[in-house]
Amino acid sequence: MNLGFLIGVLGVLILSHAAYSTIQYRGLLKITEEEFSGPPLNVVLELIIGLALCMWAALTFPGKFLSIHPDSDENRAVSLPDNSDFMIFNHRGRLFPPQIDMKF
Amino acid sequence: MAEDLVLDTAIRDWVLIPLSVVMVLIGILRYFVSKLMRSSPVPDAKTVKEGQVIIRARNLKAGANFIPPKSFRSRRFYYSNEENGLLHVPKGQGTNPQAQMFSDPNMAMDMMKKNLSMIIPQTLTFAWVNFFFSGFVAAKIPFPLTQRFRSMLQNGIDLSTVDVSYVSSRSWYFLNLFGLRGLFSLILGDENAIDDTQRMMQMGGMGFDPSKSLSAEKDGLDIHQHDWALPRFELRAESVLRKLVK
Amino acid sequence: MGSSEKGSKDVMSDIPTFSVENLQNNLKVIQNSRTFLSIIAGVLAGVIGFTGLTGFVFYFVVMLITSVGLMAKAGFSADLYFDSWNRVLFDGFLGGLMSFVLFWTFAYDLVHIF
Repeated sequence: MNLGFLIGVLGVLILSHAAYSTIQYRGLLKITEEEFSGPPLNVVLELIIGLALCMWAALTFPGKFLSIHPDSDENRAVSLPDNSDFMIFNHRGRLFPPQIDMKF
Repeated sequence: MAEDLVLDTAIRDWVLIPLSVVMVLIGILRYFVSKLMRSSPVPDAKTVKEGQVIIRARNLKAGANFIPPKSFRSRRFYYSNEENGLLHVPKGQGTNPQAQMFSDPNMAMDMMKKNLSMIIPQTLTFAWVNFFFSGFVAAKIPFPLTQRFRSMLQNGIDLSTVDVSYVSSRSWYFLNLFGLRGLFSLILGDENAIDDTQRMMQMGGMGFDPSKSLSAEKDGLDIHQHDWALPRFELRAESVLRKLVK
Repeated sequence: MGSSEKGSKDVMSDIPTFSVENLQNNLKVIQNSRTFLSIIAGVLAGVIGFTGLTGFVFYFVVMLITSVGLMAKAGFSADLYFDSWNRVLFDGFLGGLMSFVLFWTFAYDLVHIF
């Protein structure tokens, strides 16, 4: 669990607390029979903080962008296909006896 | 517009919240159950071979511009000539997928399992919702809708005077069924990407027909416009190098 | 010089040579960000108590902020990570709407109508 995830959890917790306090506030209003015009200031503050935290988490947690250019630094190394579906053994090289001992 | 309804808080605590939580939990449970029941299919040599041929043809198409025209033509001939090309399927020899399915009990079994893991939990939850929660006005949609949505949103309560934006519990179940997909894709990862609607579509076109995809690949190769890229690659290399030097 | 520059640019755009896997990975990242934020936006809209059109406007505002955030994450150089800018700006814009509406309704109901 990295930092982004923890921040996201924190944001969600803050949001749920804000929701809970708004419920309480609505209950209070119902007793005093006033109209609801908007959530109280501290709830709004909490919502903004929660949104900011969640935004941060959403932007950091899902992973990094990888460069798609073949000539960028990360993509330099020639990599073997990690998808074994694309490995083809039925080619003309099959006629040659295998001489490589499988050490890499 | 009618007066605002006053709903009991008990409905929230004992209908709305449990229903939503159960929907989420059942989604997760179903994901893991279907993961458990998934059997790894035993590959059939012919299918694997055909799959590999298709992959090779696709690779050829993808890399076509990197080989000279002559090489491309000879490869294309190898794949798609009318006599013994790899992609050429003689007429009348394509196996009927329906017949194949019935001849192979494993396949039918697999499909049964897939369908069961999809249908049984849905019917069960629906029955459960119907049994416990029928007839509640459970929620209210925060935006106005036209009368047309009444049958969709107020499934299970027959009151024509209630404002349309009120949602019955049974319809809340349906809303959850469709709306929770995003949440599932977040918590279960992308393996869940094939969701119910897609799966239903797949059921329609059940029975993967290899000969069809072979001939589709053949057509793709036949119409492919070949344009050899290598003569201009020095220019490209120059520009890349320039960029690096800069 | 100018002509060769132009020619080389043509060559560059001629053949798409980019890593498809990495592009897909990037798109998945965007998709996840958007889905999560549409859920969060739904909860927020519900708690604040938006109704009607305001809620949808709020959704679009949040998605715009997300677009800006994603652009900042890409370091404002989209061509390094995506084949076009539209991917960052609009991918998954409407896909999260269903989740948004569901969570908006859910939070709104929890907080306001009971």
